[in-house]
Amino acid sequence: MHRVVLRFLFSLHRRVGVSLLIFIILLSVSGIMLNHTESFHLDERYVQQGWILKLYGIQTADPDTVYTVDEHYLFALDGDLYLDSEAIASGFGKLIGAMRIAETLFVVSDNKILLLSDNGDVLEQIDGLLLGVFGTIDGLGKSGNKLILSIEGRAQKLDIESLRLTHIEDSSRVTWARATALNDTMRDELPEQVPRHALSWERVILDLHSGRIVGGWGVWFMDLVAILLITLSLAGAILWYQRISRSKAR
Amino acid sequence: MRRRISLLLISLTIMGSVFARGVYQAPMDFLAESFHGEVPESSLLLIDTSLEASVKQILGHRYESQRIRYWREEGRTAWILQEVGKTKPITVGIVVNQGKLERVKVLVFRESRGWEVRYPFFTDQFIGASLTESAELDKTIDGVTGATLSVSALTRLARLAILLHKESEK
Repeated sequence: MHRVVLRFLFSLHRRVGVSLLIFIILLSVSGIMLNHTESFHLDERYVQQGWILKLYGIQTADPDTVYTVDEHYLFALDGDLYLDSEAIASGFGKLIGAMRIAETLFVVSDNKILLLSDNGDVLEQIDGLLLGVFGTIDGLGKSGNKLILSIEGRAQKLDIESLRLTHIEDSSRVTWARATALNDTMRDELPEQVPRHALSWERVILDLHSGRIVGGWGVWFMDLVAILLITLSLAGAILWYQRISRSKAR
Repeated sequence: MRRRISLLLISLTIMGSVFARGVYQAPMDFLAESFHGEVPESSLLLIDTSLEASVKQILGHRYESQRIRYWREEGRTAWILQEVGKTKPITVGIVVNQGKLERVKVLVFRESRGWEVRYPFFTDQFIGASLTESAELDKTIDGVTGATLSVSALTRLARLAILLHKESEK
């Protein structure tokens, strides 16, 4: 082969090799991670970093309904229950109400009753199914120290020890939990929340691997990287073959 | 014609997955069945610091609450526990008798895959199992292809129920 061509190939191989170093590492590491998605639990872990979510156009969200109890804010977002800024329970469903009854803070969704301690620890979670209730709790109230649930619009007293529901005829003495309208002051006080399960790490690594993470041009760029990698391999193979042939000729 | 058959097959697959999810038995019905119609009053087991370490060893994380409700009658205890399979919790009813598993039943399955663990051919494997000193089951539980995470969740809950049973007897 002509010496000028060989010199060009050698220079190309060296320059392309050095300039692709970062991308070879990136593609290899992301490829290994994707091959072992389940072992790394990438599909179960979710991105919480605002700047990555912003790349995907995922905005922070405000809760629809907020309940205030003893200077605490309680709200549900994306299936998680938050006490002030901390997510304290998942798979919570639609927040129906929160109120203190005696020493315990009760938080109720359409399918669950949570008993919280003063510092927000979850003492007990009572699934609505244990009460024979299938996503139909629509109100939380109290009458004296008794917990009252509204189930499909009917007020029922819940004995928290035996988990028995008793229908109450006169609900005029029941104090029902009322949501607080989210005003601008509260919005400022609430920590910025992001949907916790909006974006899995598997998606991010996949998009990093394909270049899609920086948009449409990223995919074309990764295509170029792939073409350069092919060029690198071919140039390497030709140079190696030339060297072998030359040493055999000697 | 071919297109219609393909559509039908796709629909049947999706419907199969949808119908596999759901409430197989209400927890109170499971308890009534387990205690021959007379469900005893429930008790509460507090997960203290020492128990929490053992729970964490089995589940790999803390339990979702600080106390767990259970039902006891003459050395038998029944537990309604839940654990996430892949992304959603599986609710399981477990009866422990004298430290050995007597009954394991999937009550609510919310995941889209792995529902085969609800069938007796799988759950019956747990019957008679107890805990070893290292908090493992003393019986080998055969897995179900395509339901690895659900199998793992049920096995963890079975171990947890025996541990809690022992703790409730103290």
